[in-house]
Amino acid sequence: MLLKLIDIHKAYPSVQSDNIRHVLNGVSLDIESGESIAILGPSGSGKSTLLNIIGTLDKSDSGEIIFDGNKLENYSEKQLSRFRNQHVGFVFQSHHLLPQCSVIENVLVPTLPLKDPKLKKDCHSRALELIGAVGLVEQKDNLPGTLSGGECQRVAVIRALINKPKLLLADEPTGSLDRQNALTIISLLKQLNTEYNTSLILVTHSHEIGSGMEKKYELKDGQLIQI
Amino acid sequence: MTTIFKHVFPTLRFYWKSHVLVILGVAISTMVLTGTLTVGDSIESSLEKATFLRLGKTDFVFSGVDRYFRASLADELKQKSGLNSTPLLQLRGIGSTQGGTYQLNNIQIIGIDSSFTTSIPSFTKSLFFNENEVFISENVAQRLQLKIGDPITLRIEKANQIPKNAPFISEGDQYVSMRLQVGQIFGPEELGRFNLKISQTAPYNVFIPLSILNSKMGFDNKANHILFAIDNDKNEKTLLENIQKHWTLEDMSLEIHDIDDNQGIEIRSDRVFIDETIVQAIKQVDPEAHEILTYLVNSLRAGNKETPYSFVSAGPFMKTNRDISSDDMIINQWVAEDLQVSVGDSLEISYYIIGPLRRLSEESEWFKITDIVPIEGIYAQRSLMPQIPGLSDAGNCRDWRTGVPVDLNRIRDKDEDYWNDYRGTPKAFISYSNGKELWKNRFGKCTAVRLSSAHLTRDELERRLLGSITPTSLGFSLKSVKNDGLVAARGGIDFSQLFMGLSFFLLIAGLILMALLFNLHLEKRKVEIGTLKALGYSYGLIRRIFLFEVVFLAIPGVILGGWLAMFYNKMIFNALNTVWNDIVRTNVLQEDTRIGTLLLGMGIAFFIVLMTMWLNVTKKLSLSAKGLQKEEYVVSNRKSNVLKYGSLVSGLIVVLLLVYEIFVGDTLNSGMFFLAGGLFLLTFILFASYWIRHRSQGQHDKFSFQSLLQRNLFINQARSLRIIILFSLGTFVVISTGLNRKDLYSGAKLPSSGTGGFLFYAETTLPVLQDLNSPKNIADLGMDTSIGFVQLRVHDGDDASCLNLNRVSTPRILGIPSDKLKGRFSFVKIDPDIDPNNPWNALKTKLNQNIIPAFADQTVIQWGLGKKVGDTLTYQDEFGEKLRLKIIGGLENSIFQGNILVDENLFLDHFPSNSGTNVLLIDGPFDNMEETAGVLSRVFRNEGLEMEHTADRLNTFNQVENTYLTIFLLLGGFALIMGTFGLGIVIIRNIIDRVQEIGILEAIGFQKKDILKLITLEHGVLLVIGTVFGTIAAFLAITPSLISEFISASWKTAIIIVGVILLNGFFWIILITRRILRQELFHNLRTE
Repeated sequence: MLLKLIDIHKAYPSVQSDNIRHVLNGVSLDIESGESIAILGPSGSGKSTLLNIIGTLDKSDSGEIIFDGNKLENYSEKQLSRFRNQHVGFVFQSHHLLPQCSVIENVLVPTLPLKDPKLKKDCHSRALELIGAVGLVEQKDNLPGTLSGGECQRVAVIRALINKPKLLLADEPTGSLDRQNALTIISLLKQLNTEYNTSLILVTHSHEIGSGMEKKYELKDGQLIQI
Repeated sequence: MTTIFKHVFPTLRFYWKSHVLVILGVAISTMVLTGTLTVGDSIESSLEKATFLRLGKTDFVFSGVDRYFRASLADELKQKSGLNSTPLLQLRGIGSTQGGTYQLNNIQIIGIDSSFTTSIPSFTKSLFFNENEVFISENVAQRLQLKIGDPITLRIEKANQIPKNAPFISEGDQYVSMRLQVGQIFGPEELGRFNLKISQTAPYNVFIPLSILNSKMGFDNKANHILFAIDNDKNEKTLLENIQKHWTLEDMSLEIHDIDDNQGIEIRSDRVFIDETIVQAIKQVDPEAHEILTYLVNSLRAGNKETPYSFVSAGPFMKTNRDISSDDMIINQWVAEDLQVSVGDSLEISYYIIGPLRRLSEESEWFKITDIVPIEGIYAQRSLMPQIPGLSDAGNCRDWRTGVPVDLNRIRDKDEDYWNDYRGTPKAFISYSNGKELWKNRFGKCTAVRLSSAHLTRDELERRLLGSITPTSLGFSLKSVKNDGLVAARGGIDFSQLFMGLSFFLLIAGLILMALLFNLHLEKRKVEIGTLKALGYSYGLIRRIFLFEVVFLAIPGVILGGWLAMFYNKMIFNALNTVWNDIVRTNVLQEDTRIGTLLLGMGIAFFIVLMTMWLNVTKKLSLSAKGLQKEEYVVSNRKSNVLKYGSLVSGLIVVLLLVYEIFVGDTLNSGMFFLAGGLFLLTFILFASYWIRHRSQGQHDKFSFQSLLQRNLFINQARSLRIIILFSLGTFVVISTGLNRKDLYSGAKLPSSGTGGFLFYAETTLPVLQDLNSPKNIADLGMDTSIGFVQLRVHDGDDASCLNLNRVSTPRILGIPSDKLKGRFSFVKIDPDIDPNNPWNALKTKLNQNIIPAFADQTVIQWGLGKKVGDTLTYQDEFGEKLRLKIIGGLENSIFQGNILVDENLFLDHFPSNSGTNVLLIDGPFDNMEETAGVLSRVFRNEGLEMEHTADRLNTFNQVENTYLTIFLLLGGFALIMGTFGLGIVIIRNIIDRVQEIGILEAIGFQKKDILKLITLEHGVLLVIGTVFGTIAAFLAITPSLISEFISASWKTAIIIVGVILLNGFFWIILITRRILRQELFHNLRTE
């Protein structure tokens, strides 16, 4: 078991009233290594919140997250940062590439916090390998501004994989792309999921995109229901 | 237009927060620009006001230097020529109260009559003096602790027609004392500031009835000034013609006498020696007129016999009325008997030659007796002895007061009998040519001129002399004081320019900040511009929309800036009248904002602001619609070569300047070094621009934290550059001014310093007539031999030092004994022909008939006079001739500031009547200063000694410079505050712009402290680069000061300043960054 969510709750103050809005209301989920799942749901259903909690960017109000046998609630900020850096890869709807850095530099950005020389070793060649894998060798020294939206998102995907994470979290990764590019990205994610045995959690509102994953869940009324 | 309006107004409303910031930026720039312009207006108008306060409605002044004319001349000019005029007898004096507890030197004692108020009507106070009353100015009352009704004792210089140091004039009775009562106290708006000299500072004035002052001087209603308040149609020429019309021989101190026995007429002068101008004029009237020079000799000696103290006349005393041959002498029978000599015998005469400052040398000469004559006819004329007070009026020989040592023991009874019988009738006669060679002096070459009455009558002679001798040829002058004063006020220190210079960096910082704010605002609008372009808005339409918007932002900013400028002006004036009073030395400064200047400043600011904003708009519009919409990171390659070569050229100029200054130039020129420092800063800014562009394009072989930092540094080249510029400018200004402050106490003892190594600088109200270095005088005055003096003569003029805001054209001249200053003081510039080992020597050589060399402080030459080495200043000498002083060298800041220096001998050639010295440079033991000061104060109490330690005097001047530096420092500090404000805005904006980037860094495992470190370093590097290069440029600029032994440039101060700048910068960087990072930035990664 790579990841286990147990009874996760998250609530936000309601914007319209004094009430509290329960976004996540006892979510539990198990994910095995190399498994790919899709979490579906309409906008505002709490999909991104769940993903951020899994990725430790956000904290749940209650519940447990166990990753590789370790309870993440006990982690310090520093350990959480290291956890995100070494075990989790993020892909967002926007590529969020650093505009001032070239393609290869963007891919290498997650390697900067690595302290262990062993981990740092071969980063550059791995980056080149990943760039090659997504067909952007020619553009490796280009700035993101010169790439298309689909190309940028491909760079964002391999950036998420540069540190060989065990878990890849993709939050609407195709939301800004046309259908063709969207399918390419999903195919890429699946391919990398398989090749690198990385677990993949894909958040999307599109059933078509979600259908490529091994399991599909729907987040409804704060509850995660497998469909 | 409708489209524009529809677009602009909602935009203005929507972005109101950004717009407020931009408007504030515009307002600051406008305030600085307009404020500095209006400061100049206010100073000019204040100085003009000060001119009216000191002169009332006086337009012209007719004056004589140490010459006195009839006071009734003014009345005659009024009655007969309709000229509104009033006479003044203005002398110098010393006031004291409470038995000498309070003493005030250098008071203007002004004798006035009732016509003063009627002629100078702007003075409205009643000038009716009760018996024994004087009116005093407020500052006199303040200094002497006086109120109305209090007694005041005045010691007033004794005015005399005879120059005080003319041969045989006794030095006694230099002053007269009066005990009077304060009748009125005049404020600045009344007579309190009355002053004929061009200065904004109030003099010490005491007004006294003219008749009283005259009687105390022993004068019969004399004056030395006439003030004219006249109509515009009268000019100097008309006035001089009118003066000449009413001019009399008495006004020239001349008298015509009939010679005994009807032998012709004789012209004598109240001044004893007759001016050469007059002699020449007489000779033009009667070419056969002949001079007579009668001199007191110490002895007539033959063998072992001696006749002491006799007058000898030089002139045509042969019986045939021809001149006596050279080396021949005629003696009277009394002497022949006394010495038992006969014709053919030789006779030796000994006499004193009286040099400057009564330095005596006894000379002797042998003559052959050619005739012995009885005491009768031409040999019995008592009038041959000049009328010398103390001599001619003495009852007997023992009562003589001669101004030269007289050994009373040598005077025998028979000598007393001769005096009783014949008074000063000469006992011997020699040729005039011989006498002239022996006894001519700077006051004249004869004591009488004789004419044969057969040629012309007394009346005819008087008429012809009055027609040919002009007042100006005798040293009288007519000055257009009002006009000169106003010209000096308007041409004085240009405070607009000065404050523009002082505020320059602040202005630049304001504009950069404004551009930064506007640019940040525009960046928010990039997408909007792109959208408009994409929607098919034409380039012109989008430009018009933004132009309209820019105008709407600029107008309120400029109006607000204009209003703030008045506030800025007021603040500066409050400071000038209080904490910065050192540089203005007056309290009459008032802000006077002229609407024209205000509008001009606002107009210029509007134009600059509009252009700056417009350039930014144009730059943004030039980006493609796609680029604008994508907010892509664009690397600009444009102008890269311009920057590269620009920095190279600028850097080359810096190197050349430094090489020239260090290896070629004689002295290190502060101005050139400051220029080099400024250019270095420019080089650095150009290079930094190039480097930023260049570095941002490079590739990294190995991507590291440093690579990311470097990439981030140049995300926005313009922003980074502006921060660097703001901090480099601010640091440059603050360091260069903070370290350039002068502290002269450290090198004050060195002869090469601005003190000349002298212990004290002193000025006396009454002149010191004797040589203070003569052992006899030292002993007589009870002084220590360790005290030495260099005595300087003074020809009055205006103060050209930095303490006078007016631009004067005829500063006070100091006649210096050049030899005594060898090895003293330092020069900034000297004429190339001058021996650099002893520049003072160059002052001794006359350059031309009426051109003499002069030195002055370089700051006086440049700023006080608006001249340069090689230029000339024009004066009128005592003969009414134009005297040109050619400035051949500029001194390093010295105690002479405000004066122009010429050699004493050349000075006396042109101002021969000048008697005594009023400025003393005093050498003495530095370790015994207080005791020396005590001795000197006691010795010169009656002369009204104002003495100060030379270093204190120098510091008074340097205080002005230091105050300017303080202002510069303060304004530089404001520039730094703006820099910090800009830095803060840039950090906030950078973080806001990059919030997603920061979010993603957090998401991929960067700790917050890593992100804080990254952002701090990104901005810290800009801060450090700007500060370091600003510091280097500043150090380059002040190199001469750093190596000067007279400037205490402290490394500690530099380190503190740099430390404060860096700490302040880092404090804000960290504070702002931490506050922003405290938020959960990952939320910004969401797109939902």
